[in-house]
Amino acid sequence: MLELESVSVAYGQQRVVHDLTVKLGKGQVACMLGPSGSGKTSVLRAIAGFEPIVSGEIRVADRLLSNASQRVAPEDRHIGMVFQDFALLPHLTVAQNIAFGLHRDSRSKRESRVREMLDFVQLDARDKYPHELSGGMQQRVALARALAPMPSLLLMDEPFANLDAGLRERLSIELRELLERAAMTTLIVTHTQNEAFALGDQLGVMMAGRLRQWATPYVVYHEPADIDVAQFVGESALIQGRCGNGGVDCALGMLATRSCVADDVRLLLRPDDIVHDDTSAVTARVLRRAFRGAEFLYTLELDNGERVLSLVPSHHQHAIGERIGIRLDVEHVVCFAR
Amino acid sequence: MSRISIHTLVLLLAIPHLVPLLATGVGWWRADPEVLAHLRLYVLPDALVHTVWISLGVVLVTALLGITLGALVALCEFPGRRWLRWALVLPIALPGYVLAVAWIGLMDYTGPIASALREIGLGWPEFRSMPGVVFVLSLSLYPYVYLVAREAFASQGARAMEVARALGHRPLRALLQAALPLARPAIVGALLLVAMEVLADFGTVSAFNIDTLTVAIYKAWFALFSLESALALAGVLLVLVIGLSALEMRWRGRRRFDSVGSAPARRIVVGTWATVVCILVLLLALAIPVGRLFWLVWLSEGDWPWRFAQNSVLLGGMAAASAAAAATVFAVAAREVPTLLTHGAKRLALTGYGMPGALLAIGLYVPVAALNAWLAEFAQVDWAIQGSVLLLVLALTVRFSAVALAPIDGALARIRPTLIDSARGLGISGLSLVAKVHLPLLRSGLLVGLLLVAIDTMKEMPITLMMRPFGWDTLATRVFELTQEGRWAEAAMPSLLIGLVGLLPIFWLERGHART
Repeated sequence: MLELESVSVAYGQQRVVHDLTVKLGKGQVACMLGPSGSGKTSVLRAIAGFEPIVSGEIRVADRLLSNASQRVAPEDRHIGMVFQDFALLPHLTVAQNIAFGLHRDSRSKRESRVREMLDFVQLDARDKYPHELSGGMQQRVALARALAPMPSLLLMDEPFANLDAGLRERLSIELRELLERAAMTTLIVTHTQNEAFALGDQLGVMMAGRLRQWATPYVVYHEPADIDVAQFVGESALIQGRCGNGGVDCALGMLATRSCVADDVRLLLRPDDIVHDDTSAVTARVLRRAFRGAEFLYTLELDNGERVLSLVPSHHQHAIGERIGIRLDVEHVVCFAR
Repeated sequence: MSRISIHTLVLLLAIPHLVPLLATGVGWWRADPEVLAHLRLYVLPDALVHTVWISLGVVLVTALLGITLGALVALCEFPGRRWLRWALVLPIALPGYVLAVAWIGLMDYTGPIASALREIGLGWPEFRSMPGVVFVLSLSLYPYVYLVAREAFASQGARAMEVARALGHRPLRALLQAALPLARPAIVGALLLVAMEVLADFGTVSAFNIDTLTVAIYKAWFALFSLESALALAGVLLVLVIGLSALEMRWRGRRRFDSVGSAPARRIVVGTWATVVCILVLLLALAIPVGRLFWLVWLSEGDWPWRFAQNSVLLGGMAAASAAAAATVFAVAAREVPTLLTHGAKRLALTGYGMPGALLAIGLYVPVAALNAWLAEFAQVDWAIQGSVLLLVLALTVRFSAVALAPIDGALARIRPTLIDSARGLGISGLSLVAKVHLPLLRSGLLVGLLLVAIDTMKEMPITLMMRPFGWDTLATRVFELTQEGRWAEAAMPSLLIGLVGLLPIFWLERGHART
């Protein structure tokens, strides 16, 4: 459906996207995750046709849209785009905004499509102006407007950046449902991983203009491709390990694994890999404690000075400086060469 | 300084702002019915029709120019865009009458173009006509619209264009359907400002010898010596100005088109035709007239008008000092002692810039002359303020304290209330607070204010012309006298000086702005 083949984007002399290759199947929802400045928005704008590309090819439904020498104008791409700030036209009502891309249709067809889209996003505010709507409602109007002309691909730029933190989780579930119902091939750009986990069938991690990993969210979390991805996605600690005898040996004991990449490695430990256990012989000192409601996130110092994170149910309250027993409970052993 | 003394000071400074408004209003009722009948029959029809048509024409042409150029520079990419962006603002510095001096000489019956056409047996339309005035005024006023349109398009138009294009609209349609509606409130505001400037214009229309309301006021005063008719005509002008201001305020109040977001967007690449359009406008509004003036000065054997330049600078300096002082008082008072009176005075000071100079001159002159006569009769005080430089400076202060108020108010806004409070906590208050805290922090705003008023004063024509002491000429009044006699070549020198004085700071400001 969407194919990017070694696409590079540059502003003047400065390349912001390097050799990006991505394939997205019909009806799939993919998220592009990355810190700000990683080039992910440039990818989106290149697909939409606002940015030229300096190498590679962009195809949608087997139609060549961009290469280094030419590009189809944005208005001829049939790609829907939801902007970060929704960019609703303030001088038009909700219905007029949704109808804005239906200028080629007849009046009656336009009218029925607007009604259909309002139903679809469950919005009963056709004659309201954008400034009279809440942020969540504005987002739904923006989505309805982008979907109304039945684009072959939908692009969303930071769909939740302009919304209250409290709304985000609920709306990301809602958005996921809407996209599934519309069977819309969608590429979403975001810098918050919870949204990326909640929305995407596929997850791409971009850093400094390069795609570091392209996989399901589960794989990205549990089998990150490199240290940067591991540290960017989810919380983690890295401790030293030594490979040998079919496992890796570290300060917390021996872990069986076949994924040893070198003799000396750095072992990735997620906070859920380390379990609080009063009976354990291994203890660590509490350095920091962050209350998260159901859990505490403890930062612990091991005897050799290394630090790890541990997620502990919140009825286990320990003071800073206290020593607590811990043990390893690792399902996916991930280690990187030093 | 006590609250009472601040209020007294503000009130004293505000009175001159109020007098012209009251005088024109009252003069309307007190006028001799015969005089009014005469005006209604023989003066007003022409003056009104000319004023209205010229205003409409200039609004139309400046809208077309300003929107086109603003959209090109803000939304499109073409060769030379970066320097054209600021260069297109430069013509704002040239008063209409300076352009008129240059263009009339070129396009007149005896000018080079008409002469050349006659050689080959072709006719040439009369340039000193309403279309001619509209042409010249539009070239000097379009930057008002251009600036506003450029900023509006740059801040949100680019994003609106992207939205529309992502939804399948061609660029031109995207401009008309999405970007332009968003910029409309700002542009309409600028167009109303342009209309105000046209209503106030005296120099250009008098050079073209077309009777508008301002010219009629001048003629009633200095050709018929009828202060009564001049005041009555000023009343008509006042009605028009108030009508326009009311419209402007309505538009401002309704403005609600404030957000589509403004992430940086890529400009649409267009061909060199855009460069050609921009350069053409610059040629007509700047290069040809300034070049022509230089050429005339080069050819002429006359002396440089130093005496008039000296008077211009002197007057500019006096008006600047006076207007900046008044503006500082209004601004500081409204902020430190926020009462109905101080706020009202500040608002009143702001209206000064909307008052056409001709209206202000007659509206201030008549009451002052009456006061003088009264003093002479009852108190045997024989001291005539009318016809002195003092009254002229007072009138210029009323007109231009709004100009100084904007930068001073801006600088004042940067002085945080906590700063004042902490100074007060240290026992500094009253005048020493102003001297130790406000003035040092206000310095940059004050300097900009002084500069702007000085330049505006040097360009100003009707007030200086009507209120100057007899025989005391500045560059601007010299231009007027020479154009009245059709001495275009001689008028070139003072015109060029006025143009250059206006151009330099704008050039500097815009360049500096473009760099940051």
